[in-house]
Amino acid sequence: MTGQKTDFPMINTNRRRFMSASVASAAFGSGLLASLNEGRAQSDEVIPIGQMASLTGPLAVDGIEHKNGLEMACEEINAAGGILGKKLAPVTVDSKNQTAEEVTAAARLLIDRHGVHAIINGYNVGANQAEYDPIADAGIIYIHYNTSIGHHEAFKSDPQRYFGVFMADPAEYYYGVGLPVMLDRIRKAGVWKPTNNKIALVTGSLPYSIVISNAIRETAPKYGFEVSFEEVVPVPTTEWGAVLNKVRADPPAVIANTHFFPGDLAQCQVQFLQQPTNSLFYYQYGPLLKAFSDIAGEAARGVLTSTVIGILPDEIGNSFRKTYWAKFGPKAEADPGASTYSETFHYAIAATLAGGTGEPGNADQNRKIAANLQRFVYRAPFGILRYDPTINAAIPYPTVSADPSIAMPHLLYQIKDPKADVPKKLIYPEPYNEADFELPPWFK
Amino acid sequence: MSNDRLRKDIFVAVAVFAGLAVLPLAAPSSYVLGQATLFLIWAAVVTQWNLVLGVAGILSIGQMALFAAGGYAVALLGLYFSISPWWSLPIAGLAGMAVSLLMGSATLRLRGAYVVVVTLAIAMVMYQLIVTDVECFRKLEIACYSLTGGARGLARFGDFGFTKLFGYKLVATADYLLALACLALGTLFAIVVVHSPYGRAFQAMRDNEVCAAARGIGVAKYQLIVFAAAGFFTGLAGGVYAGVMKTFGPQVLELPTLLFLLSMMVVGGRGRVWGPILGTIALAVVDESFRDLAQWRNTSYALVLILILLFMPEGLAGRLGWLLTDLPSRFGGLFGTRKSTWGQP
Repeated sequence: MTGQKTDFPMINTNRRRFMSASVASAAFGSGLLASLNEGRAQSDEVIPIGQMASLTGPLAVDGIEHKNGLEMACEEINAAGGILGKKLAPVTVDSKNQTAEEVTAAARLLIDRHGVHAIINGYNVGANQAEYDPIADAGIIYIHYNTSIGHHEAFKSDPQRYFGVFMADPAEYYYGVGLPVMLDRIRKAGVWKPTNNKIALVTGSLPYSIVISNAIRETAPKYGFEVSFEEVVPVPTTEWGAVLNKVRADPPAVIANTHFFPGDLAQCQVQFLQQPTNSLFYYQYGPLLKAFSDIAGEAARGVLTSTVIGILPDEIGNSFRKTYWAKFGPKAEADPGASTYSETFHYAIAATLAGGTGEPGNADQNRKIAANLQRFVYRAPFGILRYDPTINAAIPYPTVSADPSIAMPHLLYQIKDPKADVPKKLIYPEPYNEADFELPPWFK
Repeated sequence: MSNDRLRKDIFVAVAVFAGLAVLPLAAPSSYVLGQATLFLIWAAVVTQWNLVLGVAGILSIGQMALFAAGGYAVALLGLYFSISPWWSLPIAGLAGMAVSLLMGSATLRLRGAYVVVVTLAIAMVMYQLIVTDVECFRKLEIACYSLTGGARGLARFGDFGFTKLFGYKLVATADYLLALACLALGTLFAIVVVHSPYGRAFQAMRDNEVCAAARGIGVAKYQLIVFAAAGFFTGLAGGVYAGVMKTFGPQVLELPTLLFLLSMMVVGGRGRVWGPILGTIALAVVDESFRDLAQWRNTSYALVLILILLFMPEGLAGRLGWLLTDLPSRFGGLFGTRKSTWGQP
């Protein structure tokens, strides 16, 4: 059955037209800035833009790419005239292991010592929004990809105070909501004919993983699945034997591992294949990074993974990936870099249209920029970024919005060729998908 | 002799804390105050840990469990009963004391490496119980949360209300002064204890437990007393941390935090009253100096630790004592002739 193709997912007949429209709107970044800056004299003044990123510790793999993305965007924006003639100067501070005190200290350092007008981050998953208060006190713009439902709660607790805080991707909760939807689509397509409707949940002990597992458990019954096994695994770990043995005792249709460190997950996949069951294996986030396929090797083939923020295999995405690799080398991970790159552009456009940036303390100017960020949709390499003004966060397509032109796509990938430069292929949703689902090679 | 040293230590303490209290008048940035606040809290923890490990010689390394007990007391009471951290701070101290007594009781019959294993195990069990707590206890918006917040920790459980009292601009100063008060209270308590008969009993236990017992010192009783006292003030520091950071999670129980605090004690001088504060200042300076060289920061901690162990095994407090007393005595006894006891109980 391996390699057998299905008609799932259907390629949208309007795909070409949709993509053409997307390319047109992408040109909007540098092109629009250059137009807005036309006739403006270049100034010697610089606008410091801050970032808190893990430059050391286990999360530095992504942190370095977040830094690269910010720096690449600043270079391109400066080449297009900066923001009303003023050049951007990126400043990245190490947020180490992303604990509350480390992230808060980094935020204070950026504001007090560097006087940054905005902070544009990747993710800092352990801070629990502790950094929001010093940033709100300074009244500057803060855009991050923390992928945390906690952002919704913090923002709603005082929207006036947190007016400048934006989460540029959907909350992790939507991973959990989206997975049963996608599994249901695969099942309906017919190539995968599970013998039962069981999902085994292996949950990493970090909050990100726990929220996702909770959401999978809640949503699964709506799509005819049931969670038949659950175990929380303290992470990081490379020893998966015990939990996999328990899963094998009652083989489920799907095993979902919501831990997200690529090296740990690669070990899990290798150990699973020592005695595989006829189960689809879904891993959270890790297989998106090439490190997963490099470590797992051939064992990675057929694995499913997803992201609410990943580069699309289209003209804009491919072009970004090519430019990124040309600048930072072929081993660089373009997906995390695309996040900070895109939001820096979105911020620059919003600030230019607002008449300039706002330094710490200039909340009035920053409120204008925040209003523009809410008002204008931005087409990034990972799809559409549009903030829901009630939560200042991106919303996912198709889980929340059925309209791909106003929401960020939740992307389901399958690893097709572990040795390729890009081992994963996008199989869902339309109109972005580039390949079909195939039954994994370990199925008998 | 002991009264003189008590008076001297208290005099130094008052001078040091008065000096630290006026630091905000120099209008440092909120970053400096934020970092200083954090290091003051760590110093408060290490001061109490030093009482157990350095002064009494009990090889307990589960100190962060007491800190976590205090922090979680404030967070849980604030979240589920809307109790202000001001009211829950004493409970935080009692929570720290309760866990500390549990730890002390569990190690009464153990010595040396076995104490290390059991105290670390208690802290690790606490960590595992929290991070694997995923049962849905309350639902907020669309997401479920467990009782302890699990690995995510707890947030939005209230704070000390400094924003309303003094306005946003003075929050960092108020946080700093509160942390300083917590450290001052714990340090003054430690000074009084180590110069009291209790302190001498602790030292006797550390130096020769058999002799101490032969002289009529109830080792078990004194071990529980030192655990209880250190537990109360460590729990208090945990409560202050929770109220200042406005979030509290199990990360404080992870090994890197433990090792960082242990480094502070070693660098400062184990068993010396002023060791924890000097160690904290030293590592804060190293941390700040290498902030822009992220990849060298962890290396720099290790290097400082190795250098201190090689060249100043008694830590900075020990070396400072030598400079202040022993060295002058070698040059004609200008400053007295007695052996260095600076900062030593």
